[in-house]
Amino acid sequence: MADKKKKEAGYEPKILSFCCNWCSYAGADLAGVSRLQMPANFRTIRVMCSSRVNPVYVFTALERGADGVIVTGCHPGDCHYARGNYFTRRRQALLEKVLEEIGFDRERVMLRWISASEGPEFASTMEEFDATIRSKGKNPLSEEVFL
Amino acid sequence: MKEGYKGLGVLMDAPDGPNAAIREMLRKGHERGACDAILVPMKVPSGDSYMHVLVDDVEMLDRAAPISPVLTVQGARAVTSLTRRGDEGVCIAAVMRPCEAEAVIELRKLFQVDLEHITIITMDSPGTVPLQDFARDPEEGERVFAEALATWDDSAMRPICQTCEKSNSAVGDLHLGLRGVQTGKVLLIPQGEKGLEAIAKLGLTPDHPIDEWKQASDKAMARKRGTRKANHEDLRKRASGLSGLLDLLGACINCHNCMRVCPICYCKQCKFDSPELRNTSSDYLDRADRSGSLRMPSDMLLFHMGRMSHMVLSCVSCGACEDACPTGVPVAQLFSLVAHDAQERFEYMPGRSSEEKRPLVTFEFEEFSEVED
Amino acid sequence: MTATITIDKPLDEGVRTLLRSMLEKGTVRAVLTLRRLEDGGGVAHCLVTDPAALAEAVPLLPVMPSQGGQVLSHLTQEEPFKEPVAAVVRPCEARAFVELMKRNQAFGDNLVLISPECPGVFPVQRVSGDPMDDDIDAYWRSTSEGKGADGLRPVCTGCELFEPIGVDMTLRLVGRSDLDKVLTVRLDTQRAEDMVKDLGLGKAKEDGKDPKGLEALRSARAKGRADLRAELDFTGEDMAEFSRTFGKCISCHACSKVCPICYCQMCYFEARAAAAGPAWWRNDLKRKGATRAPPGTVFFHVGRLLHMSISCVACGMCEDVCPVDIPVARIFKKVGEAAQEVFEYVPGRDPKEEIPIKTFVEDELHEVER
Repeated sequence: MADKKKKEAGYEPKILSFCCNWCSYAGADLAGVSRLQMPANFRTIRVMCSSRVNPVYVFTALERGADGVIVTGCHPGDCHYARGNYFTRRRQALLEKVLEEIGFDRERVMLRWISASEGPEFASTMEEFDATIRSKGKNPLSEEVFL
Repeated sequence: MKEGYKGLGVLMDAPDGPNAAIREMLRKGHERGACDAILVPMKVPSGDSYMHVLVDDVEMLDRAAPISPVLTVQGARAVTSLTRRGDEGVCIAAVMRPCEAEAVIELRKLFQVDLEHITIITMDSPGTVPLQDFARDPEEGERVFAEALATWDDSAMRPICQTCEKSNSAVGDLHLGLRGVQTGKVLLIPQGEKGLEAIAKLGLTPDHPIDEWKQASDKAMARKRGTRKANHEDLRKRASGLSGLLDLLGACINCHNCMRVCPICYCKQCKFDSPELRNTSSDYLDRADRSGSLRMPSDMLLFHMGRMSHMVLSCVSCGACEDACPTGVPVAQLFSLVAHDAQERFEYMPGRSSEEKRPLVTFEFEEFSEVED
Repeated sequence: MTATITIDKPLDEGVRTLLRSMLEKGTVRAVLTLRRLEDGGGVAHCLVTDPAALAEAVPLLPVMPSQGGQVLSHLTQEEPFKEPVAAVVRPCEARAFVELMKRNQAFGDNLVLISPECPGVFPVQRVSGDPMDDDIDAYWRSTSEGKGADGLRPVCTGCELFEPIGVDMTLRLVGRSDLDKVLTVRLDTQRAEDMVKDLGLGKAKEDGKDPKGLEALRSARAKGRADLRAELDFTGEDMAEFSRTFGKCISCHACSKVCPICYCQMCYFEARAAAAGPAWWRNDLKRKGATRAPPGTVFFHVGRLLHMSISCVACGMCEDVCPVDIPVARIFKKVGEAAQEVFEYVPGRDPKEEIPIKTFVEDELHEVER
């Protein structure tokens, strides 16, 4: 592996979250206005539907140094576009399988359904994902030169 | 050679071989602010190849192999990938072989690289080991190359390298003379303003005459010229006429890999690889009817000849195409033959100077009357 | 019941006889087959309309100079054949063609697919120079005994789908002791039976029992597949081994160019690399102290896996053309099969089957909803 000489101490994971416009983003908003405690180390990209998230985008973030990527969308059956999130689920299954096969820790990616009313769920999901990533440490790809 | 070259260079100590000396020079240059980052071939983690790496952290230079045994990614492609969209003022010292540097200069004329902040460092090249041989047996490849570097015997290097008259060309802003230089030394030759500036930043003064290096170079290049002529005569015979050409390209499987690795073929969409050349099924059948059989994928010859007509005036004979051909077509030798003849007619040398215009974007009022009927 | 006919000429000669009579009787307008070229001794797929030009045809030559599925897609991309055309392609080529139809890159109308039970092929390097005569004799001897020949491409030795799926005629080769005397052709569709009826090649008989050798090759391939999978196991490695394997990649992208599934005129990953400006590598320099140029080599391969592995037919073209001997096809086959298993999908099995990521079932895959 690349030269691992950057300090491990004071490590703050970088987490990227994709939120669907209709459910999860509103859920995140609700968590915010409700002043719920959440880790502050995630950046959000709002997409119109979780199925907008090509697995390649998720891997792009990982290759560019993100320590974890979470995709969130409406609960199955509640998709604003009727069926989008079913496709998301298939994409996630494909992504996780490919990551597993090439030896990348698939737990660094996650799919979760969060509705507009589930502010507390959004907050707890972020807590949970942050804890998982923290326990894993730095994404090994973030320091690999030969990518 | 460029202005600023005064027939003097710096004789640097190289007790641990030229690679170590170049690494040391790069480290010093980085420390003294002669550059912000260094582009240099480096051994890959698996240890069986070399790739261009842009380095900021000088500790990593230990793994650099400025004179690498193989040409993997053509250095000009590496430079293009970094600076096609500008460089934001980052000064890069790029270490590469003369043919790679020549391609960089051609790409400058084609507006594919920004050379403003790039200092090119070239070196006398003993040639490179055929890529596919190296991939099959890296250890043997390393051994063969080390021998070539020590003895300057190029017989185990790629055929295209054996006929390269420019393998000692001082193309870069800084050139490292190795051939004919006393053992344990490297001759650093500055050229142009950039070269002199870099030398000054390194705290060096050019005070050593380069005559000895020049004589040895000229002698070696004259020998290579002889090999090239003999080689080209032979190839000219083999490739003459349609059937000769088809014979030579017979094993082509239309993968177009030669075009993909060619530094000059920078087009994102090659015309000869585009849907423009696709036909309808009825058209294909009509074409098949003409001679009873149509080779598929079609237009193999059109691809090669078309590509040749597009890029051959800028062909630097780097041999990347032949290295990448899966079926061993001597494509670099063929292109080099045509390139040599075509460039000679225009008295053009790709990579000689970035000021020089490419032959087809300029003209003189009185010329080529022989082609006017 | 499936009918077979027996042509009293062996192997290439037998197939030539079949193709010639189809062409002469006007059953088909043209045939696509491998053929030796007049110049240069090369071999290529040729669209043949003149029966005389079939003299140089080598339909069963064990080498794959281009992917037949890709060739058929080039031929029919714009419009289907208006009259019947026969094509001799290997099972993986036929499966790639089906995947291309699903992606609207080809039309199957009027196409009569003839496919052998495939004993595997030699590396593509063999298309040039020596005509491989000795090796080919040994190859057919092994095939008649139901064994894999020596010197085949590694990916072929792990191919369990060597028996054609969804074709019109199957050339029955594996495990047949009469391989050097006759060619046995199984007629898999009504269309094939109708076509052959008028060719005067003898009456169709009922298909006999599978020879023992066929069963033997099936198990040999199953073992070969397991071996390949064990050899290239990257799981639980932090991707280090995968990155190392592709470390020597020279980014020529030949693998994607020859891949039948990668039909995109402009590859997303090439476009992206071309668009990467200094902000990209400056970020890398800051984070890692160094960056490879051109960037995104490993990313290209992972990206391609994400884009096409679900349809990978493991034809091996990618590995054949790799100038630096990366086991691309073996890796793509392994990852592809793993991904395909998630959806119980076999690429090329059935043109009517949807590509998994274009469809869904409401109640499935709950393990990824975490």
